[in-house]
Amino acid sequence: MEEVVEEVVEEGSWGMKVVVCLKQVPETTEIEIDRTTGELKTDGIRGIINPYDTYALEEAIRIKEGEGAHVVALSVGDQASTEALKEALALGADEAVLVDAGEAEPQDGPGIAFLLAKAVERIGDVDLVLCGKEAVDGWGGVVGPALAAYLQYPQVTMVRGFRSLAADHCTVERLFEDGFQVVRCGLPAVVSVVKEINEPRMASLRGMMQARRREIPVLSVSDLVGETADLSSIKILTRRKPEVATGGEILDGTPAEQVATLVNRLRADKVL
Amino acid sequence: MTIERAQSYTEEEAQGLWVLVEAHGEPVPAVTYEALGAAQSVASGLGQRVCALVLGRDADRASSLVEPFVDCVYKVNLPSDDSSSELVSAKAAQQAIVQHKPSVVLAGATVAGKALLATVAPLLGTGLVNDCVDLSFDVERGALVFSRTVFAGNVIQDIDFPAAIRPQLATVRPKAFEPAKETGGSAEVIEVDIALADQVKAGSIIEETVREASGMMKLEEADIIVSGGRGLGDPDSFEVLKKLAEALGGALGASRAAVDAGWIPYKHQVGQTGKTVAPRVYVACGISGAIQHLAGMKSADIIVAINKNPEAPIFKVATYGIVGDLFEVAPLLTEELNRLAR
Repeated sequence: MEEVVEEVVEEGSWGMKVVVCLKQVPETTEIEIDRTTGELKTDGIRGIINPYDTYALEEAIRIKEGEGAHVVALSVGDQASTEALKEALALGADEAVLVDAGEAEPQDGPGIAFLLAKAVERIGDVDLVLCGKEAVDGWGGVVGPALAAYLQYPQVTMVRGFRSLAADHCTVERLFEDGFQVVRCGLPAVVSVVKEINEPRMASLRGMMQARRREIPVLSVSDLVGETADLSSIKILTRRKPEVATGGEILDGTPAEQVATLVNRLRADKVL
Repeated sequence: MTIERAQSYTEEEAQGLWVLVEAHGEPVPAVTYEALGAAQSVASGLGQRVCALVLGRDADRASSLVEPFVDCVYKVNLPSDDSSSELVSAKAAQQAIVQHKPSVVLAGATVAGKALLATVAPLLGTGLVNDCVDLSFDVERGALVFSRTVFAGNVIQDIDFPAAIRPQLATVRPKAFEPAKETGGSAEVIEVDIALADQVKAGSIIEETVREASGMMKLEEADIIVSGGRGLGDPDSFEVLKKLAEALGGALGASRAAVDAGWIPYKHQVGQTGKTVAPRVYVACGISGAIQHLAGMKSADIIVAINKNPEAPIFKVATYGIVGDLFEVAPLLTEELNRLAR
């Protein structure tokens, strides 16, 4: 299947090299915890590309279709993460690289970012790194900025759109609490995107069939950093389920009566 | 270029609970006072002072605002023409931290605060706990425990830093902590000198900042939020909720279904792929209560649900449920509130 890709994108014909960082996550967020080990029970749950990362991947593919780009999907995880990377190939990534950290997978965002940075360096000649805003089981958006810090690239988080993309810089719109900023950012850079940026496509059956046959190169932690010292700078002590909210009061009567009761309750609660 | 992990300092060398206060000419956000409150809540357990790291071109003014709440202020004045994004602030914060070695640095979990601390963490060789919902002092271990949620709020992680790794970095989720109380004393102010290389400033430049004055409150800071979902049926129906929000003095939210349908802009979206809010009152209108939506609002003190479908999962978390037509109930409620206000 390599040949098919080569036919479409000849050596050197793409404009830039775009790396998309993907994380494989469980398909559902309704995760249970094993009472004896305290670990998450994810056996038998299908892995998918972290929903936020699908926007980063889609944006990379759109850059490829527009300006022309060579898109590399990159993931830190274990062997199972090849599924997410094959999905990325099916959707239009040209290449995929897995960092198989196995048991040594860092427990924190900067640790993951360190491995990604080493892998980006290994991939080489990268112009743009795209990330999702955060992972559903991740660190609340640490990886993108931390990756930029390791690579010494400029970075922009919460990007909702590219205004322009040139060889040495891009101009993006970045969401913040009460509006947006227009940020001009030198390349190479790390850009973390939000959902508003695009609507991800679905993989075609043909794409999936082709991707299934692709071999994905695997880098180990020792390939990248020499030794496998503990890369985590924090430690998860416990994982637990939040207390479940119990159902409250259903207000009876006609709409006018329901409203009157509600107003009384809210006044008694001292919120009105 | 070599990619290296910086060496952190250790618990023995570390002293002080810091809260990052960004001073770029804007008001100090409410969540920064909550971060100061979080620091105050564990200060006596740790036996450490609460300090503000005030950073930016407007440091003098911001410093005077937070001085009543802290024991000391470390003040970093950045060049006034500076329009560059996090890397400049991150390099400045890194230098101040390395000079004075605090044991903890907290910040509000704002867009800027999160990006800044995530950039600082690798420079310091430490970790970062984003979006903390709880911070406690474990007396037995004599250490702080940071709690945050993953999987749309379905799992809570309790997190610790090894003693060899300081400072402990964390951002705190808006509305998760009580705001700081005034100390009654006066704060010591320490000016911090930093040196920034030119190439740091060149990386990214903020060309323009557009504040979208909607005339309504920011979702994250609102005490009351009125939110609409699929049950609204069309964009015009949000007018009904807007009137209710105005009557309550609250902000307007929406579920993903309503945003995806194009009825209301993304910035109003509450839930896993939108904003996480924790108001005193959350009024969910025509929202079924998918788990991804609940993730964004279930820590509201009081949840009011108005929905036609008595089986809607939103009623499982609602404090007060009204099974009925929102187009009937919401205008009646607006009317009643406006009548009471007169």
